[in-house]
Amino acid sequence: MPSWKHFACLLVLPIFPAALAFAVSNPKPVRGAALIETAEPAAVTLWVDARPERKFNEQHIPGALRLTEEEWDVLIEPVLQQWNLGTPVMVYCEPGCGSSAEVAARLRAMGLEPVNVLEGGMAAWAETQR
Amino acid sequence: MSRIFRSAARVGVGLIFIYAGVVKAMDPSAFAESIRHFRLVSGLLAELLAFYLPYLEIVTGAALVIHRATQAAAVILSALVCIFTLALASAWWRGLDVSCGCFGKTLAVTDLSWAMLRNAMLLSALIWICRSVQSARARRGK
Repeated sequence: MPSWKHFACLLVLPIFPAALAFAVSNPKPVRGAALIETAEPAAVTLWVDARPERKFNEQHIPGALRLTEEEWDVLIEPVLQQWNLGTPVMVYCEPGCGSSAEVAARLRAMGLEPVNVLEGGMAAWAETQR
Repeated sequence: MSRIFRSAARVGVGLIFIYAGVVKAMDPSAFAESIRHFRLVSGLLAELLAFYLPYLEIVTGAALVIHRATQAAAVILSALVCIFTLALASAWWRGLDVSCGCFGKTLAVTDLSWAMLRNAMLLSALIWICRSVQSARARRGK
């Protein structure tokens, strides 16, 4: 029987390069407070709302388009129509949710760049509007 | 002669997995997308797997090539091939239109039966490598 140390070594060793690659390929979320100074003007930023329809209808960033993993096939078309090469995409959801990161990852996989996640989500944007 | 054949098989299979790992590690987003298409895992887990699995293939493939921890590497790779094959079978069963994603975009295989045949061949080779290491060790022990 192979030694358990060999198994542990082979299973643990890949974690280090994988974690490094993960950290490099996933840019840190943009902080809401820094958004006004650092982000492109709202007119050229494509805002993507990764929240359920009900939340979107209650309030959303002007010009934002909805896109969720569950309704991806239906909602991706308008997003691609709005997106131009080089247009920065900012994805947001509710504070602490993971759907914006998932949507951002899928958009990056499709070749859209740059795609960022708004840290603090909708609440952070609302804070900047006060 | 059989020793040379065993070594060639071990290095060959190791290189196949290193190649498969490198191709996927170079484009983890595309691999994450392939994983999501299977509809078995989604979200962050799919992304984490897309980063981890290619490096696992590279490390275990390298272990086969350099003949270190060979048996453990063969067991891990056999488990991986079994999991990939079950995922392919479940996609085929559910009528999903997926490509294998086993070698990234370079050798995208949409014919799942061919991918499963290839996996069966790899699994046979890995089991054979595992058993040959075990019997070589037993002979040395005599």
